[in-house]
Amino acid sequence: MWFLPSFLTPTFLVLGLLAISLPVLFHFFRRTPRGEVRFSSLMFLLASPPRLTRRSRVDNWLLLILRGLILVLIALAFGRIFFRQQDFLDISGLPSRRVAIVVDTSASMFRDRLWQQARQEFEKVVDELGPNDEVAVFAFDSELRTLVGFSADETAEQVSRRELVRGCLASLQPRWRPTNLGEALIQASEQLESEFEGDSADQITEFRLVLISDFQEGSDIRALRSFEWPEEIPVDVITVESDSTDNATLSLLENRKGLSADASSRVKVTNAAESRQTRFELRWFDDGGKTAEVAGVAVVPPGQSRVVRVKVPDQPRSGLELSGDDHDFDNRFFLAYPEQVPRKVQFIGEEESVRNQLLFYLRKASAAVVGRRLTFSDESAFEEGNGTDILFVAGTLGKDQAAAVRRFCEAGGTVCIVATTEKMSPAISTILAEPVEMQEVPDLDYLLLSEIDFSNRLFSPFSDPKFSNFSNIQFWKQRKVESDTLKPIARFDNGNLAIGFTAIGEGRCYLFSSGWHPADSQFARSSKFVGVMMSMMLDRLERENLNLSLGEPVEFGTFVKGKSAILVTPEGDEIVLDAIDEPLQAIEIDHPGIYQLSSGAQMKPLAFNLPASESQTDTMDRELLEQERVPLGTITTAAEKVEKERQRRDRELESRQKLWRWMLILALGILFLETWLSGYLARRSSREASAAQDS
Amino acid sequence: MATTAQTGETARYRQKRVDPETLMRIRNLQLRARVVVEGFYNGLHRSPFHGFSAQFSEYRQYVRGDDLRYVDWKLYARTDRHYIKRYEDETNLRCYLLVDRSQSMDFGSLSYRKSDYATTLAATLAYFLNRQRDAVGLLTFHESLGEYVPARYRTGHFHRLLVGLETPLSGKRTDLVAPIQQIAEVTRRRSLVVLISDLLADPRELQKSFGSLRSCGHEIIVFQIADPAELDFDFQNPALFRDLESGKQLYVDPAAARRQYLEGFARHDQTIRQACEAHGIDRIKVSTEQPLEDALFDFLQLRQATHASARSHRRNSATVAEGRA
Repeated sequence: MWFLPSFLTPTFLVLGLLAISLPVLFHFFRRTPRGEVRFSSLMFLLASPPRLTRRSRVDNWLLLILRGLILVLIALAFGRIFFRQQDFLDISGLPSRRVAIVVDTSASMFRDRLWQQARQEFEKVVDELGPNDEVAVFAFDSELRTLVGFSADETAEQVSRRELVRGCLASLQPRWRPTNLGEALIQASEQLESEFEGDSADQITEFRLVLISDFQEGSDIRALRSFEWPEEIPVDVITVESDSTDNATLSLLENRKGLSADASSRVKVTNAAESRQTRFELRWFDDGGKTAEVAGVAVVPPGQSRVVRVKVPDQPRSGLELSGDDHDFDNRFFLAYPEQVPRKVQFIGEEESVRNQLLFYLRKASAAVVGRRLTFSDESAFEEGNGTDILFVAGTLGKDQAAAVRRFCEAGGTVCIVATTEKMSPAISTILAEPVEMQEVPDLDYLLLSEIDFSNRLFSPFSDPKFSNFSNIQFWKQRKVESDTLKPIARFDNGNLAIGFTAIGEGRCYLFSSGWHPADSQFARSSKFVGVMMSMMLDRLERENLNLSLGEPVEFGTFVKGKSAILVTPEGDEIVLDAIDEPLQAIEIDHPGIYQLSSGAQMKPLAFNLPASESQTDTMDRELLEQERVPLGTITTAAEKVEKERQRRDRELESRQKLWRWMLILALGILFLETWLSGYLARRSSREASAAQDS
Repeated sequence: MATTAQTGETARYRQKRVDPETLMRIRNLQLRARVVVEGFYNGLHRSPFHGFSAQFSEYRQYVRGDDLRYVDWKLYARTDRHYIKRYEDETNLRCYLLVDRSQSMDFGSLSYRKSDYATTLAATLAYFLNRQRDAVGLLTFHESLGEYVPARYRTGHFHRLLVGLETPLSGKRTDLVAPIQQIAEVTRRRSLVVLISDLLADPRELQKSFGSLRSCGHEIIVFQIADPAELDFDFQNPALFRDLESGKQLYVDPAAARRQYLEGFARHDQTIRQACEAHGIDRIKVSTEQPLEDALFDFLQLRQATHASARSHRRNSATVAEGRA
């Protein structure tokens, strides 16, 4: 039984009913005066209102009603009228969906009340889901963690499972990790699809992924670029936002102490784009977290970064703190200093004047490098075990001395032979343990360096084409060295070896076939000299970076030797690390600070800081996700679902009944009637008019 | 003697004018502009007007601080002296055409509307100036600003101007202040501003904006376009008159209203004349039945007169300076 008239498109009905007023309006339009003249401007004219001869009135009520009726019928047809039985849709009758809720637990969620907001949003989403919806909850920061999986659905009862979902965030807190949003979304989408099997598979009509996050700009979504996002999974982004947008962060560009008391470190201070604060103070803090007086002030406009110099304190400090912004979570930068061991440099060789000249330029070059501790020994004879790290051989040597140099190198020392005279060939032969021929090259105009191996550590700082021009360094004197063991790093343009290298035991041995002092060349006066010599003299370990980022895999094996190590947290807890020679995810490191890594007698401080990206707290543009072809959508509540379902059924009902056709046919019939009637009335009035005229 | 020859030239040119009724039948705006300008050139064969641009005015000895770009190197080769080539101001002329595209321009008692006439006039001026390598810009306006094309001389620029001119009419009133202020803002260099409008707006506004433009050193020429029906108000039957801009309707009996209309129009005209005179602005009144060549001729005559006065002024000031020395 059909009752309850309904309309599929009520807008057309309303418009159609409004149109009924048109015949009445037309009726009155007829009364407006004719003969309109369009004129450019009435600014020079005055009004003289027209006199109307007749009062406006309705002539024929029947015609008006018929015309109105036609419009009503057309309006009903366009309104797509249909009749339906009383039918209440039940929420439980809805088709089920699969919904994955992904909650951000990265460090930026520590801000303000973001985490509370996220939990509220989460509860709201859970409340609005239908009883048939399958829900899984994930948390993510640098990795995705499953809190409640889809598989829990099969075992648990619906009600208890919903309680499980609701309570899963209760004990959860954000972690000190960066945001890898791209990877988290990919993994969540894979879980949505991969566990899609079993009895309920047929009933599931749609997939949804709800992302609850602060959606900060520093989120890493690069992983999405190489992933083809499944079109059937739209992502509903629910952004939690902090009231305050003021956030700045800092990072140290240089982590080594300077040589002198007035040495300073360069600190990069970055301000968020929507920040209102521009002035920030920097203070050093010690192990206990106590801050000292202001060490520097940075004035940074919003959205920019500035590098400021901060005076390095006399006592080593744990790090630098920034103040002046609203969010504290990223305001501390912890710092671990590599152990500074002064490196001893000794020059030996019997020709004193040459030796002193070479040493003079080397001292000058090393003074130019801040933060390197090199001590120069004045002793002219080499004694094994005198603590020398780098040994320069710049003249003839006795046999014993040469043998001692060889042993020094084999034990791990760095030896640099500067061939200043051809008489050095016996000593060089002893050091390299092969017969080496040397010969003074006579009557040189000048030579230039060529065939430079820029992959070698000596020249690698100059590998950029901007700096690789060595053509302005001229060499006047050179010794031709013929050796099989020496690998050429650079040659002269006449093809002779300029700089050679060989590894002896655990040590390294370099050979320069020309000196850098003015008697031989102008190499010492070139700016390239400092770079080349420092690359040779600095130890690899001294350049290592002890400042690490949280959430990145750490190879502890690069810092200490051995199979296992102990990591002591800032609170004093010990973490035993096994198999440290393999890459290890820094899972146990859950907050920033200075940790001590020890293995046997070795001990190294390691500073863990939040990655700089996590401090980019401006809200990211949602379009960035769409650019990676991730469709965005809004999750519908159960009530909206019911409404949609009702509309779908209405459409089906209407298409079955098709009452609009009957309405149109009726309207056409009345139209014919109206035409006939109006024609008849017009004829009658004209007849009457002519009769009146005749009479 | 010279005056007689000039009068003869003018007469010959007047015979060759194209009737605007015929001209407006050409649908292509570019072609219309070309017909007017080419016809004008033919009529002025050997006239005193041809080639007044691109003439350099003097060679001057180089002094320290002069731009080296203007040094005549060929002359240096011949004479071993550095000279600067100075061009007449006209070659660097920048002209802005301010064209009224308000609804009141939609009126026309002839077979074409005032707006057709105005756009053809603007296109004609643009074509003429473009031909002599002057930079021409365009700003159309109605109740707000319409198209803006900056003054340039380059290939394809004339086409851009034409596209800007052919935008549809709109607006409920004519705002004469905004476009003039806009031009004053965008042009730092001294320019020639040509306002083409029916000026059917509050003339007090005009007075204000003329002042600001003149104070920036710009030269202004106003073409006041009027339809013959607007000038005579020769309507016969009483009818409902509708304002094209505001849409307001009035019942008017022309026989009764004519005198009052003409008085009002004359007062308005008087105010505009005073505003122009007060700021030393040249105004050219153009009726839409007038051939376009007349408007172009008047325009050139005005330019010529301005130049003559400027030159004599320069010469006088130089003489005074010499006298002092």
